[in-house]
Amino acid sequence: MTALDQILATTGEVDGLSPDGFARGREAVHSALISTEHGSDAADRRHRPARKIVLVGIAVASAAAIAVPLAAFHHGAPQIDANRPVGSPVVGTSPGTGNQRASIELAGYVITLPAGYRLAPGATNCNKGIAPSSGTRVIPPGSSKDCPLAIQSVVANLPAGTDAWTVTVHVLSGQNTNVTVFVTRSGSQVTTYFPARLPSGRTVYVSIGSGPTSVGGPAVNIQQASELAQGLAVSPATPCTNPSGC
Amino acid sequence: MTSDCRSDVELLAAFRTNPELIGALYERHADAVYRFLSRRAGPNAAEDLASEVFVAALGARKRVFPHKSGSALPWLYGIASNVLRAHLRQANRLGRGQPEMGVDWEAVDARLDAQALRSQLREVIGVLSAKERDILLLVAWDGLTVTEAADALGMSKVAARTRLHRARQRAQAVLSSTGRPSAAQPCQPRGELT
Repeated sequence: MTALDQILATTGEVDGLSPDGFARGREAVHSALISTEHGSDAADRRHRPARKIVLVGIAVASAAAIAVPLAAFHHGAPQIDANRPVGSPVVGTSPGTGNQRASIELAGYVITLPAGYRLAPGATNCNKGIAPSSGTRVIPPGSSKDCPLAIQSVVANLPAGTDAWTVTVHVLSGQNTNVTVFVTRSGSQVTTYFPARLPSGRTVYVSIGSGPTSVGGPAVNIQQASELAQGLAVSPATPCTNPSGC
Repeated sequence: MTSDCRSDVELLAAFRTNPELIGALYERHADAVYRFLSRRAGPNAAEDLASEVFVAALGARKRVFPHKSGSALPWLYGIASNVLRAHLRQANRLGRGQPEMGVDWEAVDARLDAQALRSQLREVIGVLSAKERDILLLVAWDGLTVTEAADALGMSKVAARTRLHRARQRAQAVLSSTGRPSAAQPCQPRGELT
């Protein structure tokens, strides 16, 4: 055996997947399977339109991201909070960029994702923190630290000059769906807000940061994008720190 | 998801139209994919990345062609390589202390009790191109044959052989210069590279 082979053989020894890790992965894959067109008849009856996996991303911060023209902006009426005066839809000038997944973080708030999303138990990778699953879980604040899409602030009212952007997301099957977000623009930078509903029924707006573009990329599945845009439930309460739910 | 007695070739052939077979592929290969990722990105990231690989495989099932070796691993490792690259790119953008050059050095350190070996391995990997490193590690660490590794990396068998040969030569040269001359009996990947 050469010295090279000896070193490689030694360094190639790693532990295998733990039983818990195996089970978590199986659950994630199973959830993805449910989300595929072929296996989603039941899920489709429960949820909204397209649910292809790993098709679009919602990215804000990372300017260095690789452009992937998966999303296009167009005129259209906001689909959520339609009663609120949010300004006129605008037309984006470029396809979205980025490949980060949406993530949730908000000091002082507990953000409950829409049904079907959870932080993977024990997960430390924020980009895997949200996965389709049964039941509603609570995301502990700080669990998505350093994520480019970490929620940055909550505002009761949208800033002046906010526009509603309806984003048509193209999925591989050719099926499209619209996602509406709210944006303010300053020069070439846009700040993006998702609506979030407080237990009182009031809507606040969750900022996911600023960047040169706002939507696009191959990371967030369409169901996530759609449901995020439909509204998050936010409780200004004592943070729940139990990843498996409270 | 249940176990399936079919071969990988049969599974992959049926997988195109039966996405539920991802369960059988996961049951069969999750551990190997995890190890592949753990060697390169560390065990913490590897678990999440491994499930990403299978989710991506689900989306790519209509483009899958079984490798002639009969194993689904070359295909899965190819996907894993892409997932890993994306992970490392993102980590770099975020300025995180992530594994450099696709090697989890912390884990390597834990397995190597001699600091000298660590620095030698760093030097070896450091002189290789990304493709040379990938082919070398796929063969040495993950046990693929050269043709399987070529398939995983999307290159021809000839190119894979050439790159592997070059990688080994360059690596040995580095080791020789650092005082670890190669022994007389070279190690060959299973069944190939003759």
